[in-house]
Amino acid sequence: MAYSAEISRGNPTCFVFLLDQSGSMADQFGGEQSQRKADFVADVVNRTLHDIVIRCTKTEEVRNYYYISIVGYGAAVGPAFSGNLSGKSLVPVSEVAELPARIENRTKRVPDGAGGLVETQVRFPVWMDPVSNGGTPMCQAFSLVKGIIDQWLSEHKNSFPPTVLHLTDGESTDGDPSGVAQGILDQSTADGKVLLFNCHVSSRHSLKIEYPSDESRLPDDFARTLFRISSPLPEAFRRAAGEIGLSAPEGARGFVFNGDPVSVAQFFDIGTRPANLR
Amino acid sequence: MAAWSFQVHSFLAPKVGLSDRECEDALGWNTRKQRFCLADGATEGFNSRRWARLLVKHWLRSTRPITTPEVFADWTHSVSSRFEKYWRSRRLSWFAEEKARGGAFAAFVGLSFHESSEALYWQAIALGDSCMLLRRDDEIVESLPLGDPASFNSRPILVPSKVDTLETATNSIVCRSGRVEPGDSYLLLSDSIAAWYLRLWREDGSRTQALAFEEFVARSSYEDLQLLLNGGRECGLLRNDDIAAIIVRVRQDIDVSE
Repeated sequence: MAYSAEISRGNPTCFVFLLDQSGSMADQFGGEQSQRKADFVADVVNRTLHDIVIRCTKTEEVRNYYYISIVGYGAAVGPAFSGNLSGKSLVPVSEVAELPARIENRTKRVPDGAGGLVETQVRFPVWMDPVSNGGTPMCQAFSLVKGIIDQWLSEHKNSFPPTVLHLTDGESTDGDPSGVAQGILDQSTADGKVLLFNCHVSSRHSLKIEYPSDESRLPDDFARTLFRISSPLPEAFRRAAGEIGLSAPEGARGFVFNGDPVSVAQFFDIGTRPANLR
Repeated sequence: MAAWSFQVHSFLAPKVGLSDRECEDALGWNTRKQRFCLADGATEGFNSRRWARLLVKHWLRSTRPITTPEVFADWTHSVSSRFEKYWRSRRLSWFAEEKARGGAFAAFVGLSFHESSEALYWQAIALGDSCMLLRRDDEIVESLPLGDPASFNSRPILVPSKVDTLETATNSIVCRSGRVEPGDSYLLLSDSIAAWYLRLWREDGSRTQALAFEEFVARSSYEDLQLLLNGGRECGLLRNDDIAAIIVRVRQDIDVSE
């Protein structure tokens, strides 16, 4: 059965965060307390990395169940880690844990045990900073990701296949990305094809479409292009979607169109949940 | 006058591919106190291996029997203090500190016996999905806290090391007791092996495998055990998980001097 490989230190898997860092990512995103899209996405990715590290922490050691890549595209295309990991295209999760660019103190509201909320200080590691500049060279970005995955696959033929989580707010400015994205989707391990999930975000409060199983409700060619280069969600991911109250029927694709801040947070949560950790 | 005696056998193994040091299950017994217990540390928790081992150690050492939810809660509280004190005194990395904030969790099952003038009684207490099965002749006459192999897939409530969630957890404690019959076999099993054993017991023609498991444990036939368990894993009936098992066989020996 596909997508059932046990994830272990001997048989790890890989997450690639592919992030649009074009100029339009500086636009506001969300409701009253809105942030810039780039700021919001950086926060969500940092929080997702934090959760991944915690998941791999066994007492005082971090086990290398995952390899992590962050690729940004905008004025430049390349690895998007900040700090000590800057320039690295693929990093084992133990190194991610040891080398955040910095650890900030942030305020978090937590239940006070009496039905209310109380503010508390938490440590918030930061691995990437927001960037918003230039165009949307999506084809070039997918090509870079394909190269990273090619290299990783040559060393991990039996692993749970890599998952690419792509976030964008606009159309490609360097051509149709379908061909190169299909090149990613055609790669596989013995456990299944590489997973490519796409999340399109919008500041315009347009009707959002989450995890559709067909193209009938998609508004335009751009949405259909992204749908076609999105993998069907394997069972464990559909279950993860169900656990947070989202409908993801059989055949649902890992695709969100016109996503809002909640969609983005859920997209990264669902996309980083291959469960079978040893 | 008849005297009761206990034959105890056990088996403890980590997940396939991991070392003994990484096994998060723990087990132990004290035949003088007639106590037997097993704990299964949750992989997702912080240092659940140590938490499981502490629960076992202190349950066996406890000066009073722990057979009701109230006593269990009090006792967990005291073990929790020891666990937390150990980590509070250490300087941790940001990720270990964050993980420690969530605490450790373990499934726990304990079995004890007490005698009256005319009979021997068993008492079991469990929280989570580690089980006590009582096999009498060819029947499983008790299985707690779970008895249906299909019910092992859910997320059970476990014994937490953080006392703020202890009250909620203790509502899920299962306690049961009964009278011992000579020849009874009591099996304490962690979740994956319990689910496998119960599934075999229910399937026509598969009981011999469940009984073979007991025999291989009793005879310490580890090669046979590995073959049997690997077969279970290959056909998808046994999850790759830590395995802990204690088998207690109770006999009544007739004292011929009387």
